[in-house]
Amino acid sequence: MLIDAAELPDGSEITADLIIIGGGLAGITIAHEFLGAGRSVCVLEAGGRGSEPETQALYAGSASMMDPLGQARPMDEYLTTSRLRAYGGSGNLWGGKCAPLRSIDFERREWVPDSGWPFSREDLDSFYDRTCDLLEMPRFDFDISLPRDPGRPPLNIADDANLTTVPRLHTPVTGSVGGDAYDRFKDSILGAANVRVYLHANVVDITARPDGTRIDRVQVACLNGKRHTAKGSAYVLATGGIENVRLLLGSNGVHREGLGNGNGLVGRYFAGHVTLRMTRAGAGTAVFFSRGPESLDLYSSRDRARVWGVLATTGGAQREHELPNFTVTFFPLGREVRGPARAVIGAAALIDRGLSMLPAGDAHLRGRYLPVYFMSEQTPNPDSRVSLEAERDPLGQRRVNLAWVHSDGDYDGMERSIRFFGRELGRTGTGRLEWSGRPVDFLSRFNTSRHHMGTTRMSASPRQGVVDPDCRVHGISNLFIAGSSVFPTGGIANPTLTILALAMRLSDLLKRELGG
Amino acid sequence: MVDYDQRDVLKQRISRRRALVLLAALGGAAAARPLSGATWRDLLQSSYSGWTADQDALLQRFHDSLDANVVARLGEEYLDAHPNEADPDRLVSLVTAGWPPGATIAEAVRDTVKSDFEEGRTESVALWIVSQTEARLFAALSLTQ
Repeated sequence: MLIDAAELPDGSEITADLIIIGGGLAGITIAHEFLGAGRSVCVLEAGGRGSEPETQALYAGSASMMDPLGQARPMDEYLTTSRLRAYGGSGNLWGGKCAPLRSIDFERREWVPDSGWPFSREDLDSFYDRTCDLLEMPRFDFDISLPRDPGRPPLNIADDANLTTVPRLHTPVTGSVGGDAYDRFKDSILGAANVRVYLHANVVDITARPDGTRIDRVQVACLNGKRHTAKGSAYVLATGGIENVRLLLGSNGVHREGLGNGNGLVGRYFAGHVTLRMTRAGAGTAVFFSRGPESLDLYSSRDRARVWGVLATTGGAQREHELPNFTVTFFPLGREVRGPARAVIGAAALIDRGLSMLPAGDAHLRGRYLPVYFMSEQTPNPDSRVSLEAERDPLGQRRVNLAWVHSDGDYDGMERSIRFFGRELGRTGTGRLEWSGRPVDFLSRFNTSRHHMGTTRMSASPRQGVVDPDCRVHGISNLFIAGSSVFPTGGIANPTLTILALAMRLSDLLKRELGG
Repeated sequence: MVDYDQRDVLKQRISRRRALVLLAALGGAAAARPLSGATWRDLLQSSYSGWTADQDALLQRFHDSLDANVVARLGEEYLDAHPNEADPDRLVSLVTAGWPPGATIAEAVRDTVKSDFEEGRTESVALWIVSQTEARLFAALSLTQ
């Protein structure tokens, strides 16, 4: 059932066994898991069915990205352009690219401060499978090192000792491509007898009981001035990695420092993904493959129906060289081979092919000189944070400030990873790397993702995390968080698949706790 | 892939090119470029005397496969950063140092390049990360054009 909270009588009380704050991908997935479960579910969505400027403006605040060289890049608009306050959430904007985190992403790595999840990738595997089924896409249960697509063989770079191919797949269940899959996904819970979705229901306070150990109710505000309350046995906060922080810090009626913020961790460790290339045309950030399979289509194709290959440093190489996770993604069109690049490429081809004379012309080089972008994991950094400003929005909530800070370690990791990649290409006779980057230019060249991670990080210890391994806020027994804000580290995988896998896992727990 | 039908033609072309290179060098005037007071002729007379046919063939292979003028610019870029190596004889000695006896040029170059990358001996040339050996070959060519 779909209800417009703005049309309810003022002061209405909404009740359900489970209150889900946020009707985005995570919130809808949890509600979907409760279909027919015998427990009532209420989804409180701040927006309407589509984008509404007045609602979207509630996201406005201040933001900047900072580098370790003391440079800052203002990006206030990021707060309103990198997410959508509407039913379906940022899934309406999402490109649909999916990848699971890798095993090493879950490990505690001595060279990555504050790294490590409280469980392993293996513990999440079955939830990844269920998520793929929900998203109407193949499971990640294939070995990409084995050719599965005729004519699209993977690279074998010294038996994948240091560089390997990792897969990316696309789901049709996303709002950014044509088709009705995302509408079907959003509509899937609307006909259920036990699920109610409220639109224009902006949660402005999560109110704890006086002893602070449980949530009693949430306060709902509409832009037309109406106010309601919602009460349940359990509450899931699923409003994204920035808004989750805003609600926790702003809900300070009982816990003066904000909910779950006894150790001052809420909002800290903000991490995102950035892609790095030096020019839009690809010059200065490209790879020439001197050897390898005749077709590089696995890496350069942009066919969403087929698997995409991305090159990554292996876990072994990360351990041996103390590198962060790092990937190289290829663009579809080969660059024109001429000038100095032609000379370097020609020499590399000669050497790597055993000084055979090259055939006349450049036909044998075409399609093997590919622009790339790099991604290097942003390591956990408490100084990278979301906090509240003094200014308030029309609903009385304090606006947010995002200080997205890249550390010395991040830049060092990026540079060392790029150099390592370039050396590996040469060492293995695979090719050469064109790379003109200087750290002073990185900040202006970064292309930002819409991935907001780490701000309510997960840890078995409340001193090191906001939620426990069950995604329950430490010290508050009936408040849970869904979304990438719980990621202790974010690897380089597009986070949605993991967000939904964790949502599935949380749903199972909630069903047990609520007796559904 | 090698076009085997063209092999003889290529051999002739290589010989003609090599002869032209040496002729121009020994003649001095056409390609003359003063370097530390010495002329091309001076340099080549002294440096070529110690060359083996293999070493010469290696450089020739680059000459014939690549645009020599562009390669020369790459070599100059390397020499700007390493002026103490601006001597073709020294460059070739540096490139060939450690080549195992009996190895073919193909094996020796490939292995040297591999160990350069393995041990971090890389150079930035025209924005590319190349091995020190590749950069030195470019430089040698820039001095022997």
